Amino acid sequence: MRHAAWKEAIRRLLPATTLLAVIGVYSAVPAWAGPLTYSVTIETSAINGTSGNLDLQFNPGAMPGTQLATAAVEGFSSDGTLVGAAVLTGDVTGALPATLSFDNQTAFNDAFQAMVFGTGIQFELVLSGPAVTAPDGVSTSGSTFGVGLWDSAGINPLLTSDPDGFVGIVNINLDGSGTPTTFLTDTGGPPVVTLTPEGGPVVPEPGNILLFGTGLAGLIGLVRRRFRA
Amino acid sequence: MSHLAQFSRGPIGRAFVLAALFVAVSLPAMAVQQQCAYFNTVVNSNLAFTLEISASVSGSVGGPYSPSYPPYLPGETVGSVSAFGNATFSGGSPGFWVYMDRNGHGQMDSTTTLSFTPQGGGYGTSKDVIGGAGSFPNNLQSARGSVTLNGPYAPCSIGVSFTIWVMGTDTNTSVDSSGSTDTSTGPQMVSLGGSCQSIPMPATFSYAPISGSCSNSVQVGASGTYYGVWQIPEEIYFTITPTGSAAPRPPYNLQATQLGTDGSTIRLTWSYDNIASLNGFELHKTSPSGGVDYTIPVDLSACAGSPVSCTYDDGAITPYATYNYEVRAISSNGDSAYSTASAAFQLKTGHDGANLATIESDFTPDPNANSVSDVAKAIGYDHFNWIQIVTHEAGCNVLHTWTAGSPPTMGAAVVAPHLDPPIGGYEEFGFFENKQQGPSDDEPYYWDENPNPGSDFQWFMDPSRKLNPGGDLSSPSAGGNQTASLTADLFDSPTEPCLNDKSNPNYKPGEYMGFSTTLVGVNSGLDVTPSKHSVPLASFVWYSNFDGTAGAVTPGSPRPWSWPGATVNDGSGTGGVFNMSQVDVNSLPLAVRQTLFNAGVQHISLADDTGDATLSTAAILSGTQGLNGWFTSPVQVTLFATDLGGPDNVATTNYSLDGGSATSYAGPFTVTGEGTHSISFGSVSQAGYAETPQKTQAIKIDQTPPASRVAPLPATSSGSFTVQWSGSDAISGVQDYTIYVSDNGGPFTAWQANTTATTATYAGQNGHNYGFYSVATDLAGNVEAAKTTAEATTTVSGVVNVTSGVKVTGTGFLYSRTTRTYNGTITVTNSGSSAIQGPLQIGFGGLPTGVTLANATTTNGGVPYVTLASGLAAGKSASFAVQFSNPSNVSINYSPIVYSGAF
Repeated sequence: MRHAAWKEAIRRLLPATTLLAVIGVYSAVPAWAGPLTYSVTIETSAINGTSGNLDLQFNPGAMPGTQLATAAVEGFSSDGTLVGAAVLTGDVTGALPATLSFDNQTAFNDAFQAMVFGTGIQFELVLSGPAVTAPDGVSTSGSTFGVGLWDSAGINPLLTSDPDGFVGIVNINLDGSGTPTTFLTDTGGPPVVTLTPEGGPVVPEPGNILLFGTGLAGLIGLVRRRFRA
Repeated sequence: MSHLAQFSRGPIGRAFVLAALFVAVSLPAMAVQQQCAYFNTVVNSNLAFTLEISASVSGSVGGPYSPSYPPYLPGETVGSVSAFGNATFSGGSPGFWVYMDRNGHGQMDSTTTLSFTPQGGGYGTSKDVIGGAGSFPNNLQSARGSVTLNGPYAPCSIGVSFTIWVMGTDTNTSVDSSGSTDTSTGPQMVSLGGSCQSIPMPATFSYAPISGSCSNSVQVGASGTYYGVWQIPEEIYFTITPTGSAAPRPPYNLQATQLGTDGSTIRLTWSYDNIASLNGFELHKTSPSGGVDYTIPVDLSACAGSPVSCTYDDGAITPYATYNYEVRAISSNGDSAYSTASAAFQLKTGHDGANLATIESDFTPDPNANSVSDVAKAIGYDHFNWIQIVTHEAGCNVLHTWTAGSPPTMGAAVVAPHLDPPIGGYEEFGFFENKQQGPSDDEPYYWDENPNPGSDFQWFMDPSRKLNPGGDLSSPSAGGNQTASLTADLFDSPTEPCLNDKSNPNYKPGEYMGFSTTLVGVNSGLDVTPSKHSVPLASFVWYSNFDGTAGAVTPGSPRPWSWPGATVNDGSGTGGVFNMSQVDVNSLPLAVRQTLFNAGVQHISLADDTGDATLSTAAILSGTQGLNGWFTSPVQVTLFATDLGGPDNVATTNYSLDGGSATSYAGPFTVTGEGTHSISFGSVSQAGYAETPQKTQAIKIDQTPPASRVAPLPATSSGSFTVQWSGSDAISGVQDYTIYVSDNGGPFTAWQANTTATTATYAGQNGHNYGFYSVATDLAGNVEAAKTTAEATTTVSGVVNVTSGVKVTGTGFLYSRTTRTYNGTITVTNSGSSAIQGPLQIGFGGLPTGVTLANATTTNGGVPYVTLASGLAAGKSASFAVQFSNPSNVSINYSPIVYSGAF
């Protein structure tokens, strides 16, 4: 497609596209209606080149009594090197860098992956299942996904001040919402992990709606002026 | 020094014997006497001599004292000692003189605690020659005495020193029968303290102060072998020189008198030494009836003179009350002990209300009159006089006790009747047994018991027992007591319960007991013969007739006479069994009038009284008395009628019960039926006079105990829980409750005793079971029967299960490879509408085998708990971390249990 044609298409579709985007963003879809997705990045430059283990864990609370939930580790990438296959315990399937799938129906669901750390690790964490999309209101316990870094012996945690060895965790609350928590490093530095929610769970505040609307109105006006020119 | 001079001039070189002097200083109870070897001294002639021993006692003692002996205090000047004749003072030191007569009897103030007791034998009968030559045994202890200083003068330290002279006068220079000659070459003495020594004469011995008891003994003596005739020590001189500090002695001569006639002020006077350390005094005031107990500071402005005389007027007086006072000195050397207490008796009137058989009769002149004499003179007489007589029905064998004494004793005086004579007094009349002439009325007298049993008058003025012979009451202007108060408690003989034993069926209606006070005017110009000199002044008489009725005393009837400027207390007061009324003297029983007549009161008729205005009927109630005037049994009513004015003129006595028709009284009758009844009654004289108004008497009967119970309690309660009870009594009403409690099935004990409350909070112990029941008492004194089982029970639980009111949720439990535990967060939410008190105990029951709560705070019943200190408001949540040990990786399941409160 020629550039001018692209430009013209954009010019014509912009108002509708923008409107659809607004509608899509602010439609009355409940925040917990869909899966909870977190973009996970782990800064491992401090241990670049060292051997260790990546620990991924997704457990329920009290069982029975915990509504079904699942966790998927997708799009795993790292400049480090995975060493062999992960040791899987409980309801865990798959192998990195492909998708790892967890559910919370056993007490301990864990993937312990040996690797040589590079400067970073990225993946998407998708939390889903009835406990997320349709909380039953009677469950007495949520579920928790945890990410940890360990030394090659699997004894000492790395880059965290959490006495239990996790650099970050995400709780699935009883109402289906998620609560991420990160921990400072063992030296008091900023957490090495970021847990950035993606999609549905974000509910803009009224002030943001006003800013967005103002900017959108200005954009529409600008495009129209250009069209008239 | 005069003794020394005398000694130096005397023929001491002559033969005399003074073998040994021993002086022992010891505690009285364990006196130690040091017997020294005596000297042999040859007497070659009949010899008269004197031995003088001067002993000084020093120490920190107050010294003996008496009103005549001021205390010996450091720096104090004691001048009055000089009154003791031959006392000498060395260097101004105070001292006292002990003169030993020939038989060894000390002459000293009998009140001092110093005593000097000669010991040994051989005192002769002649002054200058004792026993004659050779009649004394060897080792004669010619003079030995003890000085004892007693009293609360701690700390006590007494030292002694002695100066001894032996002086002799040779009255016969010939050799005595023994042939001995005077070989004395001078003073030959043996000293003290167990170490005998020869000393020159005159000699002075000194002891260091002896510390210890405040009661030390100093003994000074001489013993020896003599040959010849000699004279025992004739003078022994002690000097007391206190050197320390000591608290002063108590004030003395404390007296309390009523100031004026209205009973509003008591004047207190006392005496004390004019010592430099004196800062003031402190009065201590109490009342025998209680409620009064405080001190009154008195500064020196209330005192004057030397020794000081102090006066304090106490205006905080309740009329008719009795007060006791004591006073102590405040000095820079410390406070003295309190003086001997002095009681002040105030005006009294009416009945004391406490003892059903007490009569009191008082006369109070018009306070506006200067004196009773003024009143008497205003109506033509010199003064008044009194006759007070107690009478009763013959054969009653009444016992009596005066009540104003403390303690009351038979025949003890109270306040004697005031007699207001002309200045100097006259031999006026006063009636007493077998006397034709009474005592002078300027001297109050005790009342004494009539020694002749069976007489109608049981007490009379005893001329042998004069009160206050100094006559300080003789002048009303000097504040003399112008009132008379005589109180008698009259008791029945056990064998003849004729008066106050109203429940005794042997009671004989018509018996009486009276207490009359008669005021008569007298004229000093008349013949002292009673029958001639007394003036026909109408007497007023209190005449108390026993009627057995407990209630208000009836004020006196209108007085048959009056006199200017005076008022008469008519005896109103609180209740008793005696109704007092004022009657004309001529309406008294013949026996009383006869007594007055014999006493010289004129214009008294001895003829039978025909009047019946004093007809009086009384009711006696007999039954089981409860409380508050209630009977707990049927009540027997006995009526009796008496003509107070003289011979019995009663014809009939009638009564009606509960407003019913009048019934002629034929004898005791019984009132039955629970509730309040009323009887009215009265008598009619033979002349047809009806007692008006009729008297009434309420009779309250309650024979049924009340009922009560403790309200049910919840099965479990917190530590402090409320117990409630209630009760009822249909007749007299519930007076109070006693609540009993049993702890864990133990015996019931009173928890709330005789309380009028109907609820109380019980503080129980966790885990204890408590049972309660109540016992009520009604106003009549009926007591509900005790119960055998609890009416309400509860168990105290320190914690309350609030599981149903909370929601316990958790997060997922991540496995810690570090601690090898599963870790998560538990959230407790108060789902109720009210707050839950902390602490909260969250338990995890039913954990799978192999799973334990690693961070449990405590366990209870095998269940691990995490304790949260704070409570939860309604709708609020609290979270806490949990750490499970789960080595087998089994699913963690639990049943939450939540308690409020500490285990």
